[in-house]
Amino acid sequence: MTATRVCFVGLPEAGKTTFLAAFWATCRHAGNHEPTFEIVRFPGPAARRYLQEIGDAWFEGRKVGRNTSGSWEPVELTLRTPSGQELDLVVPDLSGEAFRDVAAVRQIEQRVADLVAASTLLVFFVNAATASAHMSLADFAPGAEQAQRLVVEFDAKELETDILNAELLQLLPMLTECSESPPPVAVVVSAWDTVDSLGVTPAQWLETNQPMFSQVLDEYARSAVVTVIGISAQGGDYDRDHGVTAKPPHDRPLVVTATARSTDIGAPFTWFARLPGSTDGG
Amino acid sequence: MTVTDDGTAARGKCAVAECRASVDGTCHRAKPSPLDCEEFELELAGEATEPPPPAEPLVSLPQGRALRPDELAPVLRRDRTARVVPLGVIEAGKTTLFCVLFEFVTCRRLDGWRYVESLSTLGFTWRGHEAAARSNRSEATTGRTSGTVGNELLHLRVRRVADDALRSVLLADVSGEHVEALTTEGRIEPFLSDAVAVADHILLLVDGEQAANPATRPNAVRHTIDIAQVLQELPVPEYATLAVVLTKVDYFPDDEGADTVLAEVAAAVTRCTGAGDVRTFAIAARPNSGARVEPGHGLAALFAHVAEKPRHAPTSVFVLSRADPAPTILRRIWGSR
Repeated sequence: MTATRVCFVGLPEAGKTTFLAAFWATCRHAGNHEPTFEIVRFPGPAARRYLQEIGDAWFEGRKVGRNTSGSWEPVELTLRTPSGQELDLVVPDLSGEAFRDVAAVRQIEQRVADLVAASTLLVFFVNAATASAHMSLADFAPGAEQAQRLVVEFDAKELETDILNAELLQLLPMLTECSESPPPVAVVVSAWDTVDSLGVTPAQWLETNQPMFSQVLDEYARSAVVTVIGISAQGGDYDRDHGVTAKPPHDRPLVVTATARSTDIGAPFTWFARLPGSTDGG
Repeated sequence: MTVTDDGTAARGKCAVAECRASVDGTCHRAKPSPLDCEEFELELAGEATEPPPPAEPLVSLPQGRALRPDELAPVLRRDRTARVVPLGVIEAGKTTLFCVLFEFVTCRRLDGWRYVESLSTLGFTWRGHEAAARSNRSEATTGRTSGTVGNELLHLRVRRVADDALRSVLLADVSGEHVEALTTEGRIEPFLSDAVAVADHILLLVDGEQAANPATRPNAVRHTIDIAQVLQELPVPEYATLAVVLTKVDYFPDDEGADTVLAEVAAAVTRCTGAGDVRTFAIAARPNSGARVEPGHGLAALFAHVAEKPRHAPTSVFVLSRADPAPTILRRIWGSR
């Protein structure tokens, strides 16, 4: 059986690191739960050390920081699902800067491009707490106060996440072997606890709050399987919701799909593993 | 360290006196069995830090800015693309029209249309940024395309909700300075001439701010008619449609005044060009605050017009190989019709 390659994609602060911390910590210590995923191949020493650091931070209810380990190696590990399927999990750029550069600078490091190209599943992170959508010129009249903030040099890196994510998703298939049949995408709307009270599904939230990205995703879905999952890896705001850290690790995450709520942090992988044909490498 | 019979570390029996990773007396820290926290810290401390990364080769991607005429092949190869050429004097509102159109499609605000992609997203957003910044620097003024930064094309690919049909448009960003050079000096800029020569839709813009003011209205009307007149000196394709677009219609106190201007200009354009069907549109892409019309007024109707399938059939070029049997060749020709 060939392993399926899963690649994490997302702009800076999209929630990749916190997700990975929670996933790592819950995989490595199942507590009283049956482990859903087993890690059967570990990353290199620097990446492993970093994973442990962020896993510890997550466990202790500290905000998970960005990668400061000095490691440049991609985080790569292999998971085994309960059905025996192996997933090679690859995070080519935890900082997200390489992906922002795809959308804004239109360049990508060869090694990151290669990792994306070899993927059979993309897990695409969008942070609900920091997502921004473009404000139309039409919505502030000439000379209005809102325009004050715009009197700066244009910098594509500073564009709204809606535009950058839409561009990123539009460009990623170009890196794959066959852009006409791109890999499946699981969109993770991270920090879902911040919008959970709105009572909408993750896909509906995207439609309203990241309209450009959501439309590009709709188009993508014409040529590949797509899902949208709301995940709060922290399970809540550490500063406001002090009860979060008192929960056992497996009970902390909040995972919301169109039809169900759970604490299964591995939901994107579970979704993929159940797709027809996914067991033979996608 | 406490190790169970099967060799794994027992949960909740961590040897570290004040284990931080403890909830309700049970250590949940994600560490490999059979280490306890103390040994685990030692293991982590002993691991080497990776050397700094070597310089990585970079892969370039499509640039996403406005397209030059020599960069259109990827667009034209894929779709029947409607080429739209808005012509107006300086400050007529072209740039605002482009930007708000893009923003409305991408934000699901353009009724009847869904965004698919753009090969010039950064071209749109840069223009929008400049327009907003300029309007803040000089009161009530939108950004405009100067002769040095214009002369490019903006691409937009959309899907019509009603029938799911794909449509691509290329908006020619013709500098108002070049339009004025044409009408006042008869100087034809190559970009303008080339854009018009392949245009499917030519939009003659009337500056509504000027046209709403009785004192400046004659000038606004005359400028547009001047453009229509010089079109006869340009290689306008027979299939191209002509439309008159009254911008900034929010400056008119009511629809009647706007309709009168549109009718007057359309009649003059029909007379001087001989065009049989000159459509008219009144828009307010970015009305002033408190205006009688909503932002984006009239854009959906205008876009429906320009996104129509081009009337002309592009010349088909078939590359055939000797190995192609006759039925295959016929199928390809038939399939292209």
